[in-house]
Amino acid sequence: MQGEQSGYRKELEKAAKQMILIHRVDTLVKIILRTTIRILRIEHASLLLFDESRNAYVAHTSRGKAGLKIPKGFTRISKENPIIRYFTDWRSQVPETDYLLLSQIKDSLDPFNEELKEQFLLHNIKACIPGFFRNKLIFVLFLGGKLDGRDFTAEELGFMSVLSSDIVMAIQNARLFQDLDEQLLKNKNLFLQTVFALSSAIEAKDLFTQGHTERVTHYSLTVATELKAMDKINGMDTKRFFENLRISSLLHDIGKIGIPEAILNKKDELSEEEREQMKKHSLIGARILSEVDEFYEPILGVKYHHERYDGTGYPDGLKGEGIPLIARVIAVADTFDAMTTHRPYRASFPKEEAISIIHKESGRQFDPAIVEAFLSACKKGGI
Amino acid sequence: MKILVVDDEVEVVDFLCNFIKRLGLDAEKATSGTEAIETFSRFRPDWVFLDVKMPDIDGLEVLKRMKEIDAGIKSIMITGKSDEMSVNDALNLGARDYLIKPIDLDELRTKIQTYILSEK
Repeated sequence: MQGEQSGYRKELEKAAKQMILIHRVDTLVKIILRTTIRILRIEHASLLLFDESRNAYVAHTSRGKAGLKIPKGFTRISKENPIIRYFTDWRSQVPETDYLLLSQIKDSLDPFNEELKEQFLLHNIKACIPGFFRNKLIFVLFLGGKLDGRDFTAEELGFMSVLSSDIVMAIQNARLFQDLDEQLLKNKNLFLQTVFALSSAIEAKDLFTQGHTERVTHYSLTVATELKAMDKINGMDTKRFFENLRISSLLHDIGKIGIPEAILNKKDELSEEEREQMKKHSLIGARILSEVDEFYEPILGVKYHHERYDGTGYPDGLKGEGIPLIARVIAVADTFDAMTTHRPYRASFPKEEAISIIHKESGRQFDPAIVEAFLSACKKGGI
Repeated sequence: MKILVVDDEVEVVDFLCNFIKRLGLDAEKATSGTEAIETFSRFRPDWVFLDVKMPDIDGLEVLKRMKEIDAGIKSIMITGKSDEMSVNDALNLGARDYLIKPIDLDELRTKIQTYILSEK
Protein backbone atom coordinates (compact mmCIF):
# COMPACT_ATOMS: atom_id res chain seq x y z
CA MET A 1 0.00 0.00 0.00
CA GLN A 2 2.82 2.32 0.99
CA GLY A 3 4.63 1.48 -2.23
CA GLU A 4 1.59 2.18 -4.35
CA GLN A 5 1.10 5.55 -2.72
CA SER A 6 4.65 6.73 -3.29
CA GLY A 7 4.36 5.43 -6.88
CA TYR A 8 1.41 7.74 -7.46
CA ARG A 9 3.24 10.66 -5.95
CA LYS A 10 6.23 10.04 -8.20
CA GLU A 11 4.05 9.78 -11.31
CA LEU A 12 2.31 12.99 -10.35
CA GLU A 13 5.52 14.87 -9.81
CA LYS A 14 6.85 13.61 -13.12
CA ALA A 15 3.67 14.62 -14.91
CA ALA A 16 3.61 18.05 -13.26
CA LYS A 17 7.19 18.74 -14.31
CA GLN A 18 6.42 17.79 -17.90
CA MET A 19 3.32 19.98 -17.91
CA ILE A 20 5.18 23.13 -16.94
CA LEU A 21 7.73 22.64 -19.70
CA ILE A 22 5.18 22.29 -22.50
CA HIS A 23 4.05 25.57 -24.01
CA ARG A 24 1.49 24.27 -26.47
CA VAL A 25 -1.98 23.51 -25.13
CA ASP A 26 -2.60 20.66 -27.61
CA THR A 27 0.62 18.80 -26.85
CA LEU A 28 0.12 19.35 -23.16
CA VAL A 29 -3.40 17.92 -23.05
CA LYS A 30 -2.25 14.83 -24.96
CA ILE A 31 0.48 14.18 -22.38
CA ILE A 32 -1.94 14.70 -19.51
CA LEU A 33 -4.46 12.22 -20.93
CA ARG A 34 -1.81 9.63 -21.70
CA THR A 35 -0.51 9.89 -18.14
CA THR A 36 -4.01 9.75 -16.68
CA ILE A 37 -4.91 6.59 -18.60
CA ARG A 38 -1.69 4.91 -17.59
CA ILE A 39 -1.97 5.79 -13.92
CA LEU A 40 -5.67 5.08 -13.46
CA ARG A 41 -5.74 2.13 -15.90
CA ILE A 42 -8.98 3.25 -17.49
CA GLU A 43 -10.61 2.54 -20.85
CA HIS A 44 -10.62 6.11 -22.14
CA ALA A 45 -10.27 9.76 -21.17
CA SER A 46 -11.49 12.87 -23.01
CA LEU A 47 -10.94 16.51 -22.21
CA LEU A 48 -13.77 18.86 -23.15
CA LEU A 49 -12.42 22.40 -23.22
CA PHE A 50 -14.65 25.46 -23.07
CA ASP A 51 -14.83 27.05 -26.51
CA GLU A 52 -15.81 30.74 -26.35
CA SER A 53 -16.89 30.92 -30.00
CA ARG A 54 -19.25 27.95 -29.62
CA ASN A 55 -20.24 28.77 -26.05
CA ALA A 56 -19.93 25.07 -25.26
CA TYR A 57 -17.46 22.46 -24.00
CA VAL A 58 -15.95 20.75 -27.05
CA ALA A 59 -14.06 17.44 -27.16
CA HIS A 60 -10.49 18.66 -27.44
CA THR A 61 -8.35 15.57 -27.08
CA SER A 62 -8.96 11.99 -26.11
CA ARG A 63 -6.99 8.84 -25.51
CA GLY A 64 -7.99 5.23 -25.00
CA LYS A 65 -9.89 2.42 -26.68
CA ALA A 66 -11.19 2.90 -30.21
CA GLY A 67 -14.94 3.38 -30.20
CA LEU A 68 -14.96 4.64 -26.62
CA LYS A 69 -12.78 7.73 -26.78
CA ILE A 70 -14.52 10.80 -28.16
CA PRO A 71 -13.00 11.92 -31.48
CA LYS A 72 -11.38 15.37 -31.37
CA GLY A 73 -13.90 18.08 -32.22
CA PHE A 74 -16.71 15.57 -32.74
CA THR A 75 -18.90 16.23 -29.72
CA ARG A 76 -19.85 19.13 -27.49
CA ILE A 77 -21.87 19.60 -24.33
CA SER A 78 -23.75 22.80 -23.65
CA LYS A 79 -23.54 24.91 -20.51
CA GLU A 80 -27.00 23.60 -19.64
CA ASN A 81 -25.82 20.00 -19.58
CA PRO A 82 -26.52 18.51 -16.11
CA ILE A 83 -22.84 17.67 -15.64
CA ILE A 84 -21.86 21.31 -16.20
CA ARG A 85 -24.73 22.50 -14.04
CA TYR A 86 -23.67 20.16 -11.26
CA PHE A 87 -20.30 21.90 -11.08
CA THR A 88 -21.34 25.47 -11.78
CA ASP A 89 -24.84 25.94 -10.47
CA TRP A 90 -24.72 27.24 -6.91
CA ARG A 91 -28.43 26.76 -6.52
CA SER A 92 -27.96 23.02 -6.57
CA GLN A 93 -25.97 23.61 -3.36
CA VAL A 94 -23.30 21.15 -4.29
CA PRO A 95 -20.25 21.44 -2.11
CA GLU A 96 -16.99 22.14 -3.92
CA THR A 97 -15.72 18.91 -5.34
CA ASP A 98 -12.65 17.70 -7.20
CA TYR A 99 -14.48 14.91 -9.02
CA LEU A 100 -17.85 13.33 -9.52
CA LEU A 101 -18.22 9.57 -9.75
CA LEU A 102 -21.14 7.69 -11.27
CA SER A 103 -21.17 5.58 -8.12
CA GLN A 104 -21.64 8.74 -6.02
CA ILE A 105 -24.88 9.72 -7.71
CA LYS A 106 -27.54 8.38 -5.43
CA ASP A 107 -30.75 6.85 -6.62
CA SER A 108 -33.37 9.29 -5.60
CA LEU A 109 -36.58 10.86 -6.68
CA ASP A 110 -34.68 14.00 -7.56
CA PRO A 111 -35.00 14.25 -11.35
CA PHE A 112 -31.68 16.10 -11.53
CA ASN A 113 -29.82 13.05 -10.21
CA GLU A 114 -31.49 10.94 -12.87
CA GLU A 115 -30.49 13.40 -15.60
CA LEU A 116 -26.94 13.43 -14.29
CA LYS A 117 -26.74 9.65 -14.29
CA GLU A 118 -28.12 9.55 -17.81
CA GLN A 119 -25.34 11.85 -19.03
CA PHE A 120 -22.72 9.52 -17.53
CA LEU A 121 -24.29 6.58 -19.35
CA LEU A 122 -24.70 8.54 -22.58
CA HIS A 123 -21.00 9.42 -22.62
CA ASN A 124 -20.01 6.01 -21.29
CA ILE A 125 -18.01 7.45 -18.39
CA LYS A 126 -17.51 6.55 -14.76
CA ALA A 127 -15.95 9.77 -13.46
CA CYS A 128 -15.80 13.43 -14.32
CA ILE A 129 -13.23 15.97 -13.15
CA PRO A 130 -13.94 19.71 -13.36
CA GLY A 131 -11.28 22.32 -14.03
CA PHE A 132 -11.85 25.75 -12.54
CA PHE A 133 -9.82 28.88 -13.13
CA ARG A 134 -10.94 31.94 -11.14
CA ASN A 135 -14.40 30.47 -10.56
CA LYS A 136 -14.81 29.72 -14.24
CA LEU A 137 -15.20 26.13 -15.36
CA ILE A 138 -12.67 25.93 -18.21
CA PHE A 139 -12.88 22.18 -18.84
CA VAL A 140 -14.38 18.89 -17.81
CA LEU A 141 -12.38 15.69 -18.00
CA PHE A 142 -14.40 12.57 -18.80
CA LEU A 143 -12.96 9.28 -17.54
CA GLY A 144 -14.10 5.83 -18.62
CA GLY A 145 -14.26 2.82 -16.33
CA LYS A 146 -11.25 0.89 -15.09
CA LEU A 147 -9.92 -1.86 -17.35
CA ASP A 148 -10.41 -4.45 -14.59
CA GLY A 149 -13.96 -3.21 -13.96
CA ARG A 150 -13.26 -2.39 -10.30
CA ASP A 151 -14.09 0.81 -8.44
CA PHE A 152 -11.48 3.54 -8.08
CA THR A 153 -9.24 3.16 -5.03
CA ALA A 154 -8.67 5.89 -2.46
CA GLU A 155 -5.23 6.58 -3.97
CA GLU A 156 -6.73 6.91 -7.43
CA LEU A 157 -9.32 9.36 -6.13
CA GLY A 158 -6.50 11.29 -4.46
CA PHE A 159 -4.73 11.42 -7.81
CA MET A 160 -7.87 12.82 -9.45
CA SER A 161 -8.07 15.61 -6.86
CA VAL A 162 -4.58 16.83 -7.63
CA LEU A 163 -4.88 16.24 -11.36
CA SER A 164 -7.49 18.94 -11.89
CA SER A 165 -5.53 21.84 -10.41
CA ASP A 166 -2.40 20.68 -12.22
CA ILE A 167 -4.17 20.65 -15.58
CA VAL A 168 -5.69 24.08 -14.96
CA MET A 169 -2.30 25.53 -14.10
CA ALA A 170 -0.65 23.90 -17.08
CA ILE A 171 -3.33 25.05 -19.52
CA GLN A 172 -3.22 28.62 -18.22
CA ASN A 173 0.56 28.54 -18.42
CA ALA A 174 0.52 27.28 -22.01
CA ARG A 175 -2.13 29.83 -22.96
CA LEU A 176 -0.02 32.60 -21.50
CA PHE A 177 2.90 31.54 -23.69
CA GLN A 178 0.67 31.33 -26.74
CA ASP A 179 -0.65 34.83 -26.03
CA LEU A 180 2.90 36.10 -25.64
CA ASP A 181 3.88 34.60 -28.99
CA GLU A 182 0.87 36.22 -30.63
CA GLN A 183 1.67 39.56 -29.01
CA LEU A 184 5.26 39.30 -30.21
CA LEU A 185 4.13 38.67 -33.77
CA LYS A 186 1.73 41.61 -33.58
CA ASN A 187 4.51 43.93 -32.39
CA LYS A 188 6.78 42.73 -35.13
CA ASN A 189 4.14 43.41 -37.78
CA LEU A 190 3.52 46.85 -36.32
CA PHE A 191 7.26 47.55 -36.50
CA LEU A 192 7.49 46.45 -40.13
CA GLN A 193 4.45 48.49 -41.09
CA THR A 194 6.07 51.53 -39.49
CA VAL A 195 9.19 50.89 -41.54
CA PHE A 196 7.07 50.80 -44.70
CA ALA A 197 5.34 54.04 -43.72
CA LEU A 198 8.70 55.75 -43.15
CA SER A 199 10.01 54.37 -46.40
CA SER A 200 7.07 55.73 -48.39
CA ALA A 201 7.55 59.14 -46.77
CA ILE A 202 10.77 59.70 -48.72
CA GLU A 203 9.25 58.44 -51.97
CA ALA A 204 6.48 61.00 -51.60
CA LYS A 205 9.06 63.79 -51.52
CA ASP A 206 11.65 62.58 -54.00
CA LEU A 207 9.84 62.27 -57.35
CA PHE A 208 12.78 60.69 -59.20
CA THR A 209 13.24 57.77 -56.88
CA GLN A 210 9.73 56.37 -56.88
CA GLY A 211 9.96 52.59 -56.76
CA HIS A 212 13.68 52.91 -56.06
CA THR A 213 13.63 51.70 -52.45
CA GLU A 214 11.45 48.72 -53.31
CA ARG A 215 13.80 47.66 -56.12
CA VAL A 216 16.92 48.20 -54.00
CA THR A 217 15.37 46.05 -51.27
CA HIS A 218 14.69 43.31 -53.81
CA TYR A 219 18.25 43.46 -55.22
CA SER A 220 19.82 43.53 -51.74
CA LEU A 221 17.91 40.48 -50.57
CA THR A 222 18.63 38.62 -53.81
CA VAL A 223 22.36 39.33 -53.52
CA ALA A 224 22.31 38.31 -49.84
CA THR A 225 20.63 35.01 -50.75
CA GLU A 226 23.55 34.34 -53.11
CA LEU A 227 26.05 35.34 -50.43
CA LYS A 228 24.44 32.86 -48.06
CA ALA A 229 24.59 30.11 -50.69
CA MET A 230 28.31 30.93 -51.17
CA ASP A 231 28.73 30.66 -47.38
CA LYS A 232 29.90 34.27 -47.16
CA ILE A 233 27.62 35.39 -44.31
CA ASN A 234 29.70 34.24 -41.40
CA GLY A 235 29.65 34.90 -37.70
CA MET A 236 26.12 36.26 -37.52
CA ASP A 237 22.53 35.17 -37.18
CA THR A 238 21.51 34.81 -40.84
CA LYS A 239 17.80 35.29 -40.21
CA ARG A 240 18.44 38.51 -38.33
CA PHE A 241 20.85 39.68 -40.99
CA PHE A 242 18.15 39.31 -43.65
CA GLU A 243 15.61 41.12 -41.47
CA ASN A 244 18.02 44.00 -40.84
CA LEU A 245 19.05 44.14 -44.48
CA ARG A 246 15.41 44.41 -45.53
CA ILE A 247 14.75 47.24 -43.08
CA SER A 248 17.99 49.00 -43.93
CA SER A 249 17.32 48.78 -47.69
CA LEU A 250 13.81 50.14 -47.25
CA LEU A 251 15.18 53.07 -45.27
CA HIS A 252 18.59 53.65 -46.90
CA ASP A 253 17.54 57.00 -48.42
CA ILE A 254 15.33 58.18 -45.53
CA GLY A 255 17.80 61.03 -44.87
CA LYS A 256 16.73 62.66 -48.15
CA ILE A 257 13.79 63.98 -46.14
CA GLY A 258 16.31 66.52 -44.80
CA ILE A 259 17.53 67.60 -48.25
CA PRO A 260 15.85 70.64 -49.88
CA GLU A 261 13.33 69.68 -52.55
CA ALA A 262 15.01 72.05 -55.03
CA ILE A 263 18.08 69.82 -54.94
CA LEU A 264 16.24 66.47 -54.78
CA ASN A 265 14.02 67.23 -57.74
CA LYS A 266 16.47 69.31 -59.81
CA LYS A 267 16.22 68.50 -63.49
CA ASP A 268 19.84 69.41 -64.33
CA GLU A 269 23.03 67.92 -63.03
CA LEU A 270 23.89 69.03 -59.48
CA SER A 271 26.58 71.64 -58.81
CA GLU A 272 29.55 70.74 -56.62
CA GLU A 273 27.98 72.50 -53.62
CA GLU A 274 24.63 70.79 -54.18
CA ARG A 275 26.34 67.42 -54.47
CA GLU A 276 28.04 68.01 -51.11
CA GLN A 277 24.69 68.84 -49.56
CA MET A 278 23.10 65.75 -51.11
CA LYS A 279 25.89 63.60 -49.59
CA LYS A 280 24.62 64.55 -46.14
CA HIS A 281 21.56 62.30 -46.59
CA SER A 282 23.31 59.21 -45.24
CA LEU A 283 24.23 60.95 -41.96
CA ILE A 284 20.81 62.62 -41.65
CA GLY A 285 19.18 59.21 -42.18
CA ALA A 286 21.34 57.61 -39.47
CA ARG A 287 20.44 60.45 -37.09
CA ILE A 288 16.69 60.12 -37.73
CA LEU A 289 16.76 56.38 -37.08
CA SER A 290 19.00 56.63 -34.02
CA GLU A 291 15.89 57.37 -31.96
CA VAL A 292 14.87 53.70 -32.25
CA ASP A 293 17.02 51.07 -30.51
CA GLU A 294 15.74 48.34 -32.87
CA PHE A 295 17.37 50.21 -35.76
CA TYR A 296 20.92 49.78 -34.47
CA GLU A 297 21.97 47.31 -37.22
CA PRO A 298 19.90 48.81 -40.07
CA ILE A 299 21.44 52.22 -39.33
CA LEU A 300 24.87 50.85 -40.38
CA GLY A 301 23.46 50.28 -43.86
CA VAL A 302 21.82 53.69 -43.98
CA LYS A 303 24.95 55.51 -42.81
CA TYR A 304 27.55 53.67 -44.88
CA HIS A 305 25.89 52.68 -48.16
CA HIS A 306 27.96 55.33 -49.99
CA GLU A 307 31.28 54.14 -48.61
CA ARG A 308 33.63 52.65 -51.24
CA TYR A 309 35.66 49.46 -50.85
CA ASP A 310 38.86 51.37 -51.73
CA GLY A 311 38.23 53.88 -48.94
CA THR A 312 37.31 56.91 -51.07
CA GLY A 313 33.59 57.01 -50.21
CA TYR A 314 31.60 58.98 -47.63
CA PRO A 315 30.79 59.90 -44.88
CA ASP A 316 33.77 58.35 -43.01
CA GLY A 317 36.01 57.00 -45.78
CA LEU A 318 35.79 53.47 -44.34
CA LYS A 319 37.71 50.83 -46.26
CA GLY A 320 37.30 47.14 -47.19
CA GLU A 321 35.89 44.91 -44.46
CA GLY A 322 35.78 47.99 -42.23
CA ILE A 323 32.54 48.84 -44.03
CA PRO A 324 29.68 46.89 -42.42
CA LEU A 325 28.51 43.99 -44.62
CA ILE A 326 24.96 45.32 -44.69
CA ALA A 327 26.24 48.59 -46.27
CA ARG A 328 28.46 46.79 -48.77
CA VAL A 329 25.42 44.86 -50.04
CA ILE A 330 23.17 47.93 -50.31
CA ALA A 331 25.95 49.85 -52.12
CA VAL A 332 25.84 47.40 -55.04
CA ALA A 333 22.03 47.22 -55.11
CA ASP A 334 21.66 51.01 -54.88
CA THR A 335 24.20 51.79 -57.61
CA PHE A 336 22.77 49.18 -59.95
CA ASP A 337 19.25 50.60 -59.62
CA ALA A 338 20.47 54.19 -60.00
CA MET A 339 22.21 53.25 -63.25
CA THR A 340 19.32 51.31 -64.72
CA THR A 341 16.66 53.95 -64.10
CA HIS A 342 16.11 57.13 -66.03
CA ARG A 343 17.18 60.47 -64.52
CA PRO A 344 16.20 63.85 -66.02
CA TYR A 345 19.84 64.76 -66.56
CA ARG A 346 20.87 61.44 -68.15
CA ALA A 347 19.38 58.42 -69.85
CA SER A 348 19.39 55.04 -68.12
CA PHE A 349 22.12 52.51 -68.87
CA PRO A 350 21.12 49.25 -70.53
CA LYS A 351 21.08 46.44 -67.96
CA GLU A 352 24.05 44.61 -69.52
CA GLU A 353 26.18 47.76 -69.42
CA ALA A 354 25.26 48.45 -65.78
CA ILE A 355 26.22 44.88 -64.87
CA SER A 356 29.58 45.25 -66.59
CA ILE A 357 30.25 48.55 -64.75
CA ILE A 358 29.50 46.83 -61.41
CA HIS A 359 31.88 44.05 -62.49
CA LYS A 360 34.60 46.59 -63.36
CA GLU A 361 34.21 48.32 -59.98
CA SER A 362 34.90 45.08 -58.09
CA GLY A 363 37.64 45.81 -55.56
CA ARG A 364 37.36 49.58 -56.21
CA GLN A 365 33.88 50.81 -55.40
CA PHE A 366 32.56 47.41 -54.32
CA ASP A 367 33.53 44.37 -52.27
CA PRO A 368 34.62 41.63 -54.74
CA ALA A 369 32.67 38.96 -52.81
CA ILE A 370 29.45 40.96 -53.14
CA VAL A 371 30.05 41.64 -56.82
CA GLU A 372 30.52 37.90 -57.30
CA ALA A 373 27.21 37.23 -55.57
CA PHE A 374 25.56 39.96 -57.63
CA LEU A 375 26.83 38.50 -60.92
CA SER A 376 25.73 35.04 -59.88
CA ALA A 377 22.24 36.38 -59.09
CA CYS A 378 22.13 38.09 -62.50
CA LYS A 379 23.09 34.84 -64.21
CA LYS A 380 20.30 33.00 -62.40
CA GLY A 381 17.79 35.64 -63.49
CA GLY A 382 17.12 36.95 -59.96
CA ILE A 383 18.18 40.45 -61.03
CA MET B 1 -32.78 -2.21 -37.77
CA LYS B 2 -29.44 -1.85 -39.57
CA ILE B 3 -27.39 1.29 -39.76
CA LEU B 4 -24.38 2.11 -41.91
CA VAL B 5 -22.00 4.78 -40.56
CA VAL B 6 -19.79 6.57 -43.09
CA ASP B 7 -17.00 9.02 -42.25
CA ASP B 8 -13.42 9.27 -43.48
CA GLU B 9 -12.21 9.60 -39.88
CA VAL B 10 -11.77 6.15 -38.36
CA GLU B 11 -12.19 7.45 -34.81
CA VAL B 12 -15.54 8.97 -35.71
CA VAL B 13 -17.01 5.82 -37.29
CA ASP B 14 -15.74 3.69 -34.41
CA PHE B 15 -17.28 6.03 -31.87
CA LEU B 16 -20.60 6.34 -33.72
CA CYS B 17 -20.93 2.59 -34.35
CA ASN B 18 -20.24 1.93 -30.70
CA PHE B 19 -22.79 4.55 -29.66
CA ILE B 20 -25.46 3.10 -31.96
CA LYS B 21 -24.79 -0.46 -30.83
CA ARG B 22 -25.19 0.62 -27.22
CA LEU B 23 -28.70 1.74 -28.16
CA GLY B 24 -29.42 -1.80 -29.30
CA LEU B 25 -29.08 -1.34 -33.05
CA ASP B 26 -26.96 -3.15 -35.62
CA ALA B 27 -24.22 -0.97 -37.15
CA GLU B 28 -21.53 -1.29 -39.80
CA LYS B 29 -18.86 1.20 -40.76
CA ALA B 30 -17.20 2.54 -43.89
CA THR B 31 -14.36 5.04 -44.02
CA SER B 32 -14.57 6.22 -47.63
CA GLY B 33 -17.21 6.90 -50.26
CA THR B 34 -16.14 3.89 -52.30
CA GLU B 35 -16.20 1.56 -49.30
CA ALA B 36 -19.59 3.01 -48.31
CA ILE B 37 -21.20 2.07 -51.64
CA GLU B 38 -19.69 -1.44 -51.53
CA THR B 39 -20.83 -2.02 -47.94
CA PHE B 40 -24.21 -0.58 -48.76
CA SER B 41 -24.88 -3.18 -51.47
CA ARG B 42 -23.87 -6.01 -49.18
CA PHE B 43 -25.20 -4.83 -45.79
CA ARG B 44 -28.44 -3.31 -47.09
CA PRO B 45 -28.94 -0.93 -44.15
CA ASP B 46 -32.23 0.76 -43.27
CA TRP B 47 -30.46 3.99 -42.35
CA VAL B 48 -27.19 5.68 -43.26
CA PHE B 49 -25.23 8.22 -41.23
CA LEU B 50 -23.24 9.99 -43.89
CA ASP B 51 -20.36 12.46 -43.62
CA VAL B 52 -20.72 15.21 -46.23
CA LYS B 53 -17.01 15.89 -46.70
CA MET B 54 -14.89 12.95 -47.80
CA PRO B 55 -11.74 12.96 -49.92
CA ASP B 56 -12.66 10.34 -52.54
CA ILE B 57 -16.40 10.70 -53.22
CA ASP B 58 -18.33 13.33 -51.26
CA GLY B 59 -21.37 12.46 -49.18
CA LEU B 60 -23.86 13.94 -51.67
CA GLU B 61 -22.57 11.78 -54.50
CA VAL B 62 -22.54 8.73 -52.23
CA LEU B 63 -26.17 9.42 -51.31
CA LYS B 64 -27.10 9.70 -55.01
CA ARG B 65 -25.48 6.36 -55.81
CA MET B 66 -27.14 4.67 -52.83
CA LYS B 67 -30.48 5.98 -54.06
CA GLU B 68 -29.84 4.28 -57.40
CA ILE B 69 -29.39 0.97 -55.55
CA ASP B 70 -32.22 1.48 -53.08
CA ALA B 71 -34.58 4.41 -53.71
CA GLY B 72 -36.01 4.11 -50.22
CA ILE B 73 -32.78 4.61 -48.29
CA LYS B 74 -33.06 6.98 -45.34
CA SER B 75 -30.13 9.08 -44.26
CA ILE B 76 -28.87 11.57 -41.71
CA MET B 77 -26.02 13.77 -42.89
CA ILE B 78 -23.06 14.72 -40.67
CA THR B 79 -21.40 17.99 -41.47
CA GLY B 80 -19.11 20.74 -40.26
CA LYS B 81 -20.53 24.24 -39.86
CA SER B 82 -18.88 25.37 -43.06
CA ASP B 83 -20.88 23.00 -45.29
CA GLU B 84 -24.35 24.41 -44.69
CA MET B 85 -24.87 24.70 -48.44
CA SER B 86 -24.26 20.99 -48.88
CA VAL B 87 -26.79 20.29 -46.14
CA ASN B 88 -29.49 21.97 -48.19
CA ASP B 89 -28.43 19.98 -51.24
CA ALA B 90 -28.59 16.79 -49.18
CA LEU B 91 -32.06 17.60 -47.87
CA ASN B 92 -33.15 18.28 -51.44
CA LEU B 93 -31.76 14.88 -52.38
CA GLY B 94 -34.02 13.32 -49.77
CA ALA B 95 -31.82 13.15 -46.65
CA ARG B 96 -34.09 13.14 -43.56
CA ASP B 97 -32.00 15.30 -41.26
CA TYR B 98 -28.50 16.44 -40.44
CA LEU B 99 -26.10 16.85 -37.52
CA ILE B 100 -23.53 19.65 -37.28
CA LYS B 101 -20.15 18.87 -35.71
CA PRO B 102 -19.36 19.18 -32.87
CA ILE B 103 -22.55 17.28 -32.12
CA ASP B 104 -24.42 17.02 -28.85
CA LEU B 105 -24.88 13.34 -27.96
CA ASP B 106 -28.30 14.19 -26.49
CA GLU B 107 -29.34 15.49 -29.87
CA LEU B 108 -27.90 12.44 -31.62
CA ARG B 109 -29.77 10.09 -29.31
CA THR B 110 -33.01 12.04 -29.76
CA LYS B 111 -32.70 11.81 -33.54
CA ILE B 112 -32.04 8.07 -33.38
CA GLN B 113 -35.03 7.64 -31.08
CA THR B 114 -37.31 9.84 -33.18
CA TYR B 115 -36.44 8.46 -36.58
CA ILE B 116 -35.09 4.98 -36.10
CA LEU B 117 -36.22 3.42 -32.83
CA SER B 118 -39.79 4.61 -33.38
CA GLU B 119 -39.88 2.60 -36.63
CA LYS B 120 -39.09 -0.64 -34.88
